[in-house]
Amino acid sequence: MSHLGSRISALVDGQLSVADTEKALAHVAVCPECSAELAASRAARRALASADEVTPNPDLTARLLSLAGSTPDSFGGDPFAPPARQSRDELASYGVASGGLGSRGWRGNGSLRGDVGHRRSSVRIAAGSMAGLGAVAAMLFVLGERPDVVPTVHPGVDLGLLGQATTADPAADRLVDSSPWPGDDGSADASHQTVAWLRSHAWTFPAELPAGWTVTAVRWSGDDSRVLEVDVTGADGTSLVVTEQQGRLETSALAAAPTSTVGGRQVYVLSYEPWHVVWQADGTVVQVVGSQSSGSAETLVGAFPGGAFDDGVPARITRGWDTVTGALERP
Amino acid sequence: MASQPTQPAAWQAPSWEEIVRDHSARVYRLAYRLTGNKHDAEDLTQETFVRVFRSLHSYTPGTFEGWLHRITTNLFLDQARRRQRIRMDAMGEDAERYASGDQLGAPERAFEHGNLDLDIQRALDQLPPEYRAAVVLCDIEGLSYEEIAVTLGIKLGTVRSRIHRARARLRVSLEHRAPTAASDSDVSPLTVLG
Repeated sequence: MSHLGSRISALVDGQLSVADTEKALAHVAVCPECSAELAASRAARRALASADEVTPNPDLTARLLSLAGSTPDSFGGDPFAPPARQSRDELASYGVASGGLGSRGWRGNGSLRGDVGHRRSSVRIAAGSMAGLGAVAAMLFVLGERPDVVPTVHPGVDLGLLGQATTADPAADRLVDSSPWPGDDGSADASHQTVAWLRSHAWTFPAELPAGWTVTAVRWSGDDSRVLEVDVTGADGTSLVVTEQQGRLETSALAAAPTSTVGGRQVYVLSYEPWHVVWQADGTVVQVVGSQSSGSAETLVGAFPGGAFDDGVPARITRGWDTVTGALERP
Repeated sequence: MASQPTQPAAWQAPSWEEIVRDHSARVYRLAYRLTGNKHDAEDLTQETFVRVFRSLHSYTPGTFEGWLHRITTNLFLDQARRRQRIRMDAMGEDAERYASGDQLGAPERAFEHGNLDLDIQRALDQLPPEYRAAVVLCDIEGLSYEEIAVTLGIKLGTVRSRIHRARARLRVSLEHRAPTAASDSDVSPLTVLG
């Protein structure tokens, strides 16, 4: 009989048939080489088996539980129901805990939060003591300032985002009916109304979604609800999550990311699988996350309007005005 | 039986909380041994559960463990292959070194491991990802060769040879690290089919 070769491992693991085991052991008994090999193989197996038990951090367990949506208890009833929409707070804590996408640009770091708070309070103070047009213009100019947005990519967070995306049409899915969005009344052109609402509130969105695309959900996320998330679904079942945030895309942080022209638009590709692209559209940073790139996804990206970030005085005043009206109308 | 009002398939869908409680430790352990560090293991675990959550509706009763093993190892291997490709591109002829791209030098690793455990993980980290997956599923998760073949989508003979080669390499790196420990275990009694 020739040497045992890889049958040694099978022998060690008890994966040989009874007859083969007999034969192998008979060989080992007379072959010092295979006998040594067998002992060494057992030693290696024992070494691995003796590896310490590792236990997950409780934080991780909490994060996993939160994947299911609001609270594990309320979810307990039907795990096979579509994923529940996460509330803003949970989404934020999820992002912060994982240190991913939301770690800086999205949910805001200290300075971003500070800016936002200052801006809000200045709305109230300035609104009460407006002295003249100059003051208004100056105020709007200040309000028109936008924080730098640094998108970071993290497959876990991207997948989490996709995982919660509502993919069914709102007309068929009552899940989104409770939301305050004008388009979610279940009517046939719900998508249409949602788009109109978004556009009238200074969000960047295609005037006409490409054929077959529908908006399936809209929600706020991030600290202070400054991040808009829109779930869109294509006719071929492609599901994308579009997130938008007022701000200027911090391009220096993206120097390493490849750029690509998608649907006639220059975008930064942060990851290919899941597909995650980001670009500046006027005063808004738009990010699109999908499971992978596809022709229809690219069509959607191409349908977005918008150009480069304009930091001139008129543009800032316009944005300042949008901020004021946005602050008043924000639900 | 006939008097039962529910459908014959008595399989009770577990709640998400049950799934997480019952399986997160196992998935994490596998992820940890595959990736070799806490941070990547947490990411891999989370990704695995995201996939599980997304495809729960299409899950048909079977072994949940097998399903989780499959998702975890496949995600890991996908990542490892992608990373390997990127490093090859970036490093050109130094590509050989990708295998040692572990973080074992980092001081915090000392807190994560005992000494022996550190040696074992270091030896595992040096294995090619495919070998590592096979041997971890076998020796740490205790899967049979058939189960490993299904999990990794490879032939039984391939499982056997990967495990065999993985052990040979592990042995070399463990002997190199800790010669006394390795020779001690060489003379321990043979327990057939342990």
